[in-house]
Amino acid sequence: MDYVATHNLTKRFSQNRAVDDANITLEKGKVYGLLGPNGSGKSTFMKMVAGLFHPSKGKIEVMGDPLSYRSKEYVSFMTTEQYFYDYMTVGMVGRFHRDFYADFDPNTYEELIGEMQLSMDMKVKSLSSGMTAKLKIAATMARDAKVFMLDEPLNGIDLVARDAILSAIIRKADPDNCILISSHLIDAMENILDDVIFIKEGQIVICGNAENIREERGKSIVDLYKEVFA
Amino acid sequence: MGKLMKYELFRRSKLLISILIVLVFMEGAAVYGLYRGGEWLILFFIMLMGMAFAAFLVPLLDAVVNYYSDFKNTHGYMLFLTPQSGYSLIGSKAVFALIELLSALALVAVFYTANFHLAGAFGYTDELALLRTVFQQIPQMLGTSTAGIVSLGVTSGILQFFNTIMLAIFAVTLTKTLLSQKSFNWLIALLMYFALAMGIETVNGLVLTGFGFVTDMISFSQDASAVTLELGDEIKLDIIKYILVSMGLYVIWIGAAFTGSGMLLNKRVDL
Repeated sequence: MDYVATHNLTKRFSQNRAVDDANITLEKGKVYGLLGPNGSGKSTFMKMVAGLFHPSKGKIEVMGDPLSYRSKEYVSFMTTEQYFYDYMTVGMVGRFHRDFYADFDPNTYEELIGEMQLSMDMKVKSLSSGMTAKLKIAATMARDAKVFMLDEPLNGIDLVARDAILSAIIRKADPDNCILISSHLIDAMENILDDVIFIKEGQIVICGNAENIREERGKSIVDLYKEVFA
Repeated sequence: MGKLMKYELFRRSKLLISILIVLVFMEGAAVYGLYRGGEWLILFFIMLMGMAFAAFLVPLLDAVVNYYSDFKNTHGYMLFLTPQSGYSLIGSKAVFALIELLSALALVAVFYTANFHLAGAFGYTDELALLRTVFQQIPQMLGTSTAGIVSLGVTSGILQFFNTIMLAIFAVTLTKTLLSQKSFNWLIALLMYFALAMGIETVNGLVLTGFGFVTDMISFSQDASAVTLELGDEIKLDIIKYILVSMGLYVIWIGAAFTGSGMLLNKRVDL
């Protein structure tokens, strides 16, 4: 069973097609890279799968069922924006997730918060953008979800913290889940990706196993990215 | 839904405490006006009216502004990413608003009752006697049905205001569905609300007319004895009938606004 399957998925904003006839399947046990420059449709695609945007056309299936609010039980999504309520503390963010997601593990959250050098009594509104990015990763990866979707997880992150975040992502990858990561920082991500999906002006232009693509095209994913999006 | 309401409470805790402090301050000012008497009674009456306005308006504004903010700002993602149906999300906001409304009304009722007793302590004997005469006319008119009719009237009033809150929530949801990417959504939502409210009032008027409301009111107003004497059983039954019809209409509109908003959240709204 595909964990996520999209069929002719399209999203229009007025006349602009942000996502255009996208057919993608995500299988368990894989880390996918959704790659493309800013404005290529990565975030819109992810927000549709997460249920924040509704498709203009096409279908989405999560765990074999049509997308509904119940799909959110299986999908752990980290948006690129800061999305925590300002009144919360780091600890309350954890309690909020524990209250609403049956697969949320408070111990993992506590460990990740420690690793990210945050503390439970910090107020969300007092966090810097880098600290917020770490908090988003901790809250997202503390779930034992079937599908993880991370939208630009390395945005605004310094080199040291970048390693901590990549390490948290790698540790979470297991044969029973799949991870979709969108990024335009391909060089930092390339080594952890099993499959890559190139999205250009809303259309899927390349999709497949990263190693096979390297062999077939005779170049790295970074070089191919430069070629496709130059 | 209980968990959703818990976080609605956390989110507003500072605001609610601030409103409580303001209401207590207003009550203090009212008591001071009552104590000083003379021209200071203007302060007393202004504070009484202010508290009544606050009890009705604060729950409405709080519910709508917070709901709109969930759409307008990215913190709404935190709420809308939870595995909760649109109906639960709307239900939690609606029930919270209703509790807020009932609490505010109860608090203001306590203040009003306290003021009534304080007026006696401050020597407003004649004024209280006049007020008692006015209040005594109600049981005189309604007879043994007084408690029932007054309870129905109060419930109907609360339903009417809850209907206003639900209609505003629906107007925001509908605006977000139809014009999710537009600026000035709040203005469009406001216009949408007025359009919906006018439409609903027109339908309500037509339904009441269908039940004979206009002709009954004319004959009621022509009955001069109605002002001072106990109303006949027929008129009392008419009053009960119209209150019940109004309550039925409000329940239908509240249900429609709830169902419509929940359905749009589930199927159509883009964050």
